[in-house]
Amino acid sequence: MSENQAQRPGYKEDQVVAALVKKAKQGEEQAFGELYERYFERIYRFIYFRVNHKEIAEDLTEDVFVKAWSKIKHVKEESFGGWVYQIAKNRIIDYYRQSKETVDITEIENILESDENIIESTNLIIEQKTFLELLKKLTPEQQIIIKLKFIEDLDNSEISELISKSEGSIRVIQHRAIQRLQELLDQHIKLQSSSKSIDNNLSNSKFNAQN
Amino acid sequence: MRRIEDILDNAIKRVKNGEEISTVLLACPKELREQLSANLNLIKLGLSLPKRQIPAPARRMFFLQVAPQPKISKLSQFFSVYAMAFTVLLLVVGGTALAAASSVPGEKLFTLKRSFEAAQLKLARNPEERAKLQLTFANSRLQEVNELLAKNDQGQANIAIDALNSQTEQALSNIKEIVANNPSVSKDPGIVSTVKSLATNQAQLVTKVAQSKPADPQIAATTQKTVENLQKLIAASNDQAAVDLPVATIDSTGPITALSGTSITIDKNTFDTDQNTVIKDLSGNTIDFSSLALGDTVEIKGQVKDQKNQAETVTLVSKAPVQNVPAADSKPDTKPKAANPATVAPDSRQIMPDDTIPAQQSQDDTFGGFIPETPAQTGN
Repeated sequence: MSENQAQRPGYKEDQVVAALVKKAKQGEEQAFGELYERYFERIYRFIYFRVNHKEIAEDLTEDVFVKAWSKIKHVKEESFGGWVYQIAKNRIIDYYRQSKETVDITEIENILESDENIIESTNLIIEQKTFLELLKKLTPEQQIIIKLKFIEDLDNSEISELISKSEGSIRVIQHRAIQRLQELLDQHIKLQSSSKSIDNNLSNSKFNAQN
Repeated sequence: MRRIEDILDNAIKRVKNGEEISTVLLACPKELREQLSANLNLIKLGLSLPKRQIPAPARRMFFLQVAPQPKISKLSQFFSVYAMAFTVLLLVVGGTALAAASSVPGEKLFTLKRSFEAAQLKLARNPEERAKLQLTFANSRLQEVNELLAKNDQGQANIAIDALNSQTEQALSNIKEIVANNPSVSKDPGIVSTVKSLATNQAQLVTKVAQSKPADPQIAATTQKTVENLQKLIAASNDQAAVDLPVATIDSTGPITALSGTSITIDKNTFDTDQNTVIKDLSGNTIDFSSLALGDTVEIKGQVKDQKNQAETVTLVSKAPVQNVPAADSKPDTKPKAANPATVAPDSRQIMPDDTIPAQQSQDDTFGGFIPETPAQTGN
């Protein structure tokens, strides 16, 4: 284990999860029970925001864990989190396929993108509204990564499984997305301040004209 | 040298873990701090977005519990609030859930099923909901026992009966607690009917075990506890007639450990005899009760009536060797050889007779007649 690895935030948590997965793979149900307790709420949230129905979300979540348990031998210790999200994503897709007579494939494929359900948009301050507006100007891939990472609180390994890209690629896309967001924000601020100064100039000249 | 992407990623993780941006920047290369500071403030803005509150998952594993039950209409009635959702779920939730739900002891998914049950109990909103869940789970245990008996897996069946007993005890204890705090719950038709149904099903199990061959003394011993719980369940339902219990048969073989008046004891099971009891030897010749002696090996077949074991036939299998006949007040060393599974009859000493009921309990019906300790306390 390198020093950098040991200092990495979340390293200990990853180690604990990996150890639990190892035990679960050997048939220790208690270990799987602990994994279940750790991941249930997160997977439930992930599913809930995509089916928007409490009972269905609960049962799809249960289904995900039953599937995870039955296939636990096939997962790598370090990939468990992402793998469970991947099962959840597939389960949601299955759910839509089974419950709708006609399915819009693109709608299903974009299952990761929707954020309208996740954000409490009525209570946003102006900066947060700006953030969401600027987010829409990123590429679809960048948007998904930023949403999963900062709005849904997933980590790189989980995102990596969900969108089938390496963790290295996720870091690169994330960096580019943040730089792009930063540029857009700077432009936005500049635009705002220049329009503000125009407004100020206008109101000053009106004031001068009146006097 | 570390790449900017990795440095940023590491810094983001630390900010997500609650560290101050200023602290995080100290660990970053100086030349990058200005840029990273702007980036991290932007990230913090993203992290601050108010997340929508979602309803807490209150029905974990509900589907797994109800799906394998055969009587959907009754369940729908019982969980009328969830009836519609149940129908939808039945259509959309896949086979793996069913696999876990229908798993039995010894199968891989069984422990998962139990751990989910535990989680479901933890999330029960009130004691009533918890009691209903316990009863539902007890019925699941019963179903598992039946399945294992059908598979002739006596080892696992014994474990399953043990689990059934423990689950039933938990359910009874929960209901007792609820009724103590809120006597009106004893009128809850949901709980009463489930208790009755559980009692009926357990009585059927007792009969089934009694009839099953070949004999397994371990199962017979474990089922003894089920019989005791059964009495409590009947008392809990407070309506013995409605339960309409089938008669449980009893079949036990072993050396006589006690003889008293007209009763014969084999190990812990005491059988009453009357004028209808046929006592015979292996050739089928009728013999007198008085020709039986301590240590003689007998096979007794009978029925459980009024919480007592009534012998129908007693067959003398072999006489005890004279030198091994124990003194009348001592037990022979020999263990009963057989205990047919049918050895399910209640040990008369374990069913509390009236005179052993604590005076306070018999005078004071704490639980409004819902969960008395013994049938004698119901006042029925």
